[in-house]
Amino acid sequence: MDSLLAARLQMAFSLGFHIIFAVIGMVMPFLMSSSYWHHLKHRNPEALELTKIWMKGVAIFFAVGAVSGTLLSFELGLLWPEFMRHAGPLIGMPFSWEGTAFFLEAIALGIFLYGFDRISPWKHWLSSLMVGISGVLSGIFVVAVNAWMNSPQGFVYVNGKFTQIDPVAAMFNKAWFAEAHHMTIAAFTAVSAGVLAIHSLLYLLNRRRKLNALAIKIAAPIFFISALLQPLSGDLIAKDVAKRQPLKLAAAEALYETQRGAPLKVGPFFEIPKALSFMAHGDFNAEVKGINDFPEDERPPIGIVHFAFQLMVACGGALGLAAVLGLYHLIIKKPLIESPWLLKLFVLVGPLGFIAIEAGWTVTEVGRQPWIIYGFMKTKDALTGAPALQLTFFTYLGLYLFLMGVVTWLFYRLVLVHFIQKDETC
Amino acid sequence: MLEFIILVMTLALFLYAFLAGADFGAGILQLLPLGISREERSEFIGLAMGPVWEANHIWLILALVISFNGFPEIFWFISEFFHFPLGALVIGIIFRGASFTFMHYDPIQDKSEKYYHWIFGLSSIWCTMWVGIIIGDLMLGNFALTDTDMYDRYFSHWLNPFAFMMGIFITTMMMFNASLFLYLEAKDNREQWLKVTTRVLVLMIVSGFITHVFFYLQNPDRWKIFFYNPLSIGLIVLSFFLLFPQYQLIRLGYRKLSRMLAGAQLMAIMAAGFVPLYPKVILFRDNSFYDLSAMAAPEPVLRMLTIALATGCVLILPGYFYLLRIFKSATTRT
Repeated sequence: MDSLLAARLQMAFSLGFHIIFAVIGMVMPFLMSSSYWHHLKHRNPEALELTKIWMKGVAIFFAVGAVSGTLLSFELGLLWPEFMRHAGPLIGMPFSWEGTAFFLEAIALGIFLYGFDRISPWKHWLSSLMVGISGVLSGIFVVAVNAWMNSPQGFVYVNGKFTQIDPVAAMFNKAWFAEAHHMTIAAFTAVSAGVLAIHSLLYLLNRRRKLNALAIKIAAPIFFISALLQPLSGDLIAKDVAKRQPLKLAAAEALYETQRGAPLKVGPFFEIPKALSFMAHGDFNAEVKGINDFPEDERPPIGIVHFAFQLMVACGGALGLAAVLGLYHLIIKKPLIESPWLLKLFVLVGPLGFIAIEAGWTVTEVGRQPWIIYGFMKTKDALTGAPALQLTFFTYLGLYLFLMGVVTWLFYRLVLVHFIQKDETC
Repeated sequence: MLEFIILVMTLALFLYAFLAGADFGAGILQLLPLGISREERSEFIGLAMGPVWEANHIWLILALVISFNGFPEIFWFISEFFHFPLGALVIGIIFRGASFTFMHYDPIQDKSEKYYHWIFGLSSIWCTMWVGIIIGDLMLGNFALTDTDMYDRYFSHWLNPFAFMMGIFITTMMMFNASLFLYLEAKDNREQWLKVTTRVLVLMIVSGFITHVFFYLQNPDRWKIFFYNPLSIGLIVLSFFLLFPQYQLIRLGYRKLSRMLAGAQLMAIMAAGFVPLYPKVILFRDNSFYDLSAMAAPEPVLRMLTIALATGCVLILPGYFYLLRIFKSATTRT
């Protein structure tokens, strides 16, 4: 393994780890806020208990997310010093706003955690909502940085230097809107699906059914709406990528030859005729550029990008299907908890949202390779000259696996305390 | 504009050293035999430090963001030349953060608590040592941009006794900060906490003196820059003499004032290291330097950064103080 690969893998693991905590931090507060609102409105003790359980989960995920986020801000400089040297002033603005939003999130969470019976209930509720709003804003600002790497603007490039820097133009780059809504909706889909899965499982296991029924009632609408919005958002981002990074789209679809009326590959054996052309350009007969049209030294690893894209679409499809079935139940006014098979389906699709997020980021990041700043700076040119990056990578890998193990264990203990050791209440 | 950015960055670093520094120190104090039972100590430390812990962390992120946004060349230099000390520090931060989270939020109290405390304590020492090594290394400036040899560029400048001694000094400083805070917060065992604070203070003064000697032995010319500067000397003397009113305030039980004075002392020590060089921040082996104004990002970047920071201050500070007030009432009631 060479130094570049070691650094890229380290960054991939760091981001892959952090993203889980980041999306939970974005969405869980809204669920927590909903259950708390339910309690304040209806004086429902189950809703209060659910709020407190979710609050503990939010606190754990937020704290670990804060730590892994700190690590990431260091890693950007430690692994890619040349990137930060040139891009720092360009990506600094969204990072500054992200820092502000993140700070507000931490403060609001602190107020919510310690504010029970100390501030007025509705003010307290407002703090829970603020946690969610600032969490989402924080995510949107960070995505602006990644979007800039995919669609760099706001500078004049002269002799290998970024001059006449305009941080506002850099922040409001062309890829931001598409990436931001796709990521935000993905976060809502993944987290609500995960919550729905856990509480459906506990409901099926006859653990505190009233409490779990309430959790399902709160999480389900968010899941249905976000999972059904996601294909529309995916369509927008596909068109955007087709315009700005045609090679990434070609790699995602493993399309080697330029074609008019290009088909969309679904799995290894199935194709939808002309669908890729429509997806990319809104025209069934439009031309889609193939990989062979691009220089060899500018191509990303096709296999990884293609597999990740297929995985993302498959997960999104399964989640969308589950959402349609769930929504149908609501339309015919049949409570979700009365359909054990539907609850089992929710349990099955629960992890898919997170898998889709990881796969989606793989498409975005690996699909941009060999560039770190698309079209301007190659990843290898941004790398530190420090030795033993392989050792560093394995150290961090071990660290992340350890952390993941302990967080899972802690989460299990949280569920154990609240759902297993207590008696059934129904 | 530039001055405002530098002020906010310095303030962020100070607040990180003061507020997060206290919980670094508290982590170390958890490991030492202090004459107070481990359970009681841990519970109290957790209670005193817990609520603002996450918020404290963000001062560091803020300083990082300002540095790569406003001073990208300096950020590049520190990231590149301090690759290993920073990498080691980050590993410590992860262990600390994770163990604190587990310690604080694990719903089941069993023997795992013991492991969390140990990891938290050891990683706290690890972090403060590396922070000290980096500060010591920056003061010595035993590096040059022309260093291309792997060993010179990444290792030799921080592998020296002074940098390690600075690590020990910073560790004792954080311990003092924490013990004072904990003494002021303590309702029980106040006598014992006072004893701990006094011992740590002695340790800090002794290690400070030894560090100072090591600095002189390692590089007398650099030592002169800091210790021939009247303002720098004045600040160090001031921070020492503030110990006397500090003692009186502690004795009379003025907790808030005492805490503020401790902050002022820390600020004086930090300023003593900053003032002799300003506006230079990094001095190289060949006496060339990085100047904050010369190394600043282009004007449009600084303008946007100023707007972001000013807005951030307006949004964040009221909320932050509100949180501290709630937390205070929470611990008082507890």
